Amino acid sequence: MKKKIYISIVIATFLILLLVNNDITSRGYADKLYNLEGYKFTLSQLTEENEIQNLSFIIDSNGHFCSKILNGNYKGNFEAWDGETFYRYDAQNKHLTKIKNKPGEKVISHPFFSEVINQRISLDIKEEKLKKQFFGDVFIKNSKKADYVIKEKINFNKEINHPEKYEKIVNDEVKEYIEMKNMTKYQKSIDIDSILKLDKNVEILDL
Amino acid sequence: MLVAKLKINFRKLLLGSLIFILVCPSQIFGATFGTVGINTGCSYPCDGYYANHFNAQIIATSVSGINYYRTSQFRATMTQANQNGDRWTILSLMVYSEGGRLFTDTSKASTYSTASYSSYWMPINRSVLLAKGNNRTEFQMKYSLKNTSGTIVETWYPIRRSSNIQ
Repeated sequence: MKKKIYISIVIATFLILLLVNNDITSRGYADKLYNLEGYKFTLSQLTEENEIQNLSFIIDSNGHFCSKILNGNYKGNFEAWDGETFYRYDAQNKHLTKIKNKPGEKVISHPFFSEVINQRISLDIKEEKLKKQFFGDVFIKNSKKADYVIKEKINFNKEINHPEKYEKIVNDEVKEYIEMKNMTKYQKSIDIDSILKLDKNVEILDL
Repeated sequence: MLVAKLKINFRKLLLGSLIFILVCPSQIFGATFGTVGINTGCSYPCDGYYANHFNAQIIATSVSGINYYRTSQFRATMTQANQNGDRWTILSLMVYSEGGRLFTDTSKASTYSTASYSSYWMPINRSVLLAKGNNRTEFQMKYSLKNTSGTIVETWYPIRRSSNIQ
């Protein structure tokens, strides 16, 4: 009798976990991680100077984008792409770089939104280098290099089928951190003319 | 006897020092200065999925007597694995000293490399004087990422920068 109760408890626990987690194996996420086109959000990240930097991001439905630094040493700097030219503005030195792109060339705003890099992550998930955690959409890779214990952690957002947060933790210290916040849909197109309203004394480099 | 010997040695040392001062107006110390990656979400060593992927250096000598560095080379390298034959170059190099731009070099803009893991440093040889503590160097890189079929899918423009080398 007791044995039957134990077996029933184990089966019930298993079924509950299956319902809660919907996936208790370490299989991969969706096959393709989509570009974040048609979204507006804030990106927080760790700089090499070890500070948290916040950026406002708009990626329109064409993949054209504008990102602007909101705090810290590089506040006011922005990058934008209108499908033909990439613009990089250095607010501290009042310097604008314009890079004319070749026809058909697609520019990305940040490696976090790279289709190629996210495909590599998909492949690592498929090959189980990044293993799915028991609860939630979190994938983790544990490795060791000399005396370092390294953990790479990716949180996925199911709705957008894209990583939402990335952390690299070395010996319990966060060394790399990127997180998207406050995501909303963005229906309009990037207005490059309003973005490029700058002082007349800005130095321009055409490449 | 010992005092006489010391006197001779002192004279030799003095003479040697005078000759050195006349021939070499200043002492020269070599140094290699690093850069930081901008806007990629990581502190050192920055080698995860979304890292900057590049490093850059300034090779210079410190000239005592004047408060400047004399550069001999600016160089950049790709620090990570190149899985699909991605290609990269130094699109532009801009160097500032005492608030003014010393030069902009775009000579490597069309010279691509596929070398990875720092096996090759793309050099730009320029000799300029950088004011100590009041200088800025910016490497704008072009990085073309390919898919598994070897087709370029997207382009990213990472930056490496150094500010106010002391």
